[in-house]
Amino acid sequence: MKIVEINKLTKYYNHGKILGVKNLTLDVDAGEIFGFIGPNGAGKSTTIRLLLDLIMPTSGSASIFGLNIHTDTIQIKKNIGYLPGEIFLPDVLTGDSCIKYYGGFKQDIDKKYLADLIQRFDLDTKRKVKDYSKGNKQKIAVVLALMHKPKLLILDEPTSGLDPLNQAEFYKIIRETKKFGATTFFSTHILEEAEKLCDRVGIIKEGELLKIENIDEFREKNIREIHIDTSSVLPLSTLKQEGVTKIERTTTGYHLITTGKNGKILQSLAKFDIEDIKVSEPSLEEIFMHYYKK
Amino acid sequence: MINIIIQKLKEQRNGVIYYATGLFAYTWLMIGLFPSMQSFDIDAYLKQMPEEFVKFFGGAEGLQYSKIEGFLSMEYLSIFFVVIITFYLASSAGSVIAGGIEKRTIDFDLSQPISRTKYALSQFVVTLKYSAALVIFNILAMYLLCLAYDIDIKISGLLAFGLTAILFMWALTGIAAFLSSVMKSRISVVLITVVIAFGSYVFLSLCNIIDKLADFKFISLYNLYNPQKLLESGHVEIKDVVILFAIFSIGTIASLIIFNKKDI
Repeated sequence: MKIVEINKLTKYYNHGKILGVKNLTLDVDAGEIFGFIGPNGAGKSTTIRLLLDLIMPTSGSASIFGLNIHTDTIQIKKNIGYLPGEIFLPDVLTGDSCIKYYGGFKQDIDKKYLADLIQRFDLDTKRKVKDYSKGNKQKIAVVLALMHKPKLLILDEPTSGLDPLNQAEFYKIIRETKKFGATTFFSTHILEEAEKLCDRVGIIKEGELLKIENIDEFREKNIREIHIDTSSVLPLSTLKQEGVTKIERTTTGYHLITTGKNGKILQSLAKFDIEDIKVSEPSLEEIFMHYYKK
Repeated sequence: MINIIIQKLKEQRNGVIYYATGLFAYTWLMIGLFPSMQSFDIDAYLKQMPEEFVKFFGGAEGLQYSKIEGFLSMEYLSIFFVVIITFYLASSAGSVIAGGIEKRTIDFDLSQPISRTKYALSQFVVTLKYSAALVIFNILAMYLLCLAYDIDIKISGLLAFGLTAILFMWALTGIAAFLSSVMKSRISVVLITVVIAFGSYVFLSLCNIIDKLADFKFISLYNLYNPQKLLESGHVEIKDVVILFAIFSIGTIASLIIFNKKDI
């Protein structure tokens, strides 16, 4: 069963001058965690805002639970949990009064589950929201998004502001939502996050969907950036191994972009006088440029 | 809808208490001052002033400064009272759409299962309730203080003034609601609404002193709100009530139509 169906959804801002998304078509199946990956300004938040009926599409259509996102938005939102990247709540409210206020819009709040979420995030709900740190604001946002056990979670760069420990707890909680049958649609620009959580990913850039992939295919690519610090000149044949898509000379050595396993290249580098090697996740721009050719 | 109304009533309660306290203090000051003002022949003093000057500062034809109705009208109800309550209502109505977008609280609010119409309307209801409450509180204060200072004031006049003043404030709320749907910040809504209220007063004053403008009085909102006349006659003009209610309704409905089509 399809939970989210998007068909040629297009949004232009400023009387057609600025593109938000163009001809976006994708489906999200029941129970899956779908990651929407793209750099800043790619159209991720536009898509989410369209799904939430915060903005109107220029053309195209979309449905959630088989209902029209505009005409049936209230019915849809009863079963949605939305978590923005940065939440803005009324300053005068405490954590508790926030839960009470936003809980007032929802039916059937599972109080036990709610208490469990608060406890897992170690959240002090007696304090005023304006006194919360960015991380605590994000924690209360997670609680507000999940407290009614929604059938669809829409998360817009959800871990911004969370420290690594709380990020790990958050990933755990999102995986657990599958137990009560939740489907998740979430946007991120962090590759690692998508690899950890998602069943499928959609790659978006400049408003256009480039590709949808299963997470296994995506993981196999293992797109990495290798910085080699050396004063020696390395033969091109050593660097030009299978899976190396970019070789660049830098002031401190070499910069490579690789896909797949990196064992071979590391072995071949062992023969040379290398000062340091740093393997990391490349920027999305880099990935799009070298892998998706965009 | 109920939880929004309850929450917004709570949020604004303290602010409204401050406004009410300020208005009460000013009412007390004015009424406390009146007996000593009455001992002078103020009307004779005013007659010596240039007519245009008196008219511009609220001295409409037939103003009797030596009577409490005329005194309160000129010193308090014509402008100070209106501007203070306009600050409240414009700030409250302005925070619904323009303020929500500016503070970005509206995104999360509208991700909840509630229609935009109900969302905005439930908050406008709070503004209407509190602006009416401020007027009623002020009328009660005027009545009780007049009793305390042994000053005669007509109850029917207070009631007529109260009803018109509430509708006058609601008309301004309608204008503020409309501005909230088209402006990008709450402070712009407040400033423009106050300018409209004060501008109306200035325009009517100019109409009173410049003959060529006399036919354009109807443009001013103040043409529908004359505190001295209402306090003295105790009579409400149905035409004024209908026009004020129409301004409120048109402003609010226009605001809701725009809000429902607006990209947030």
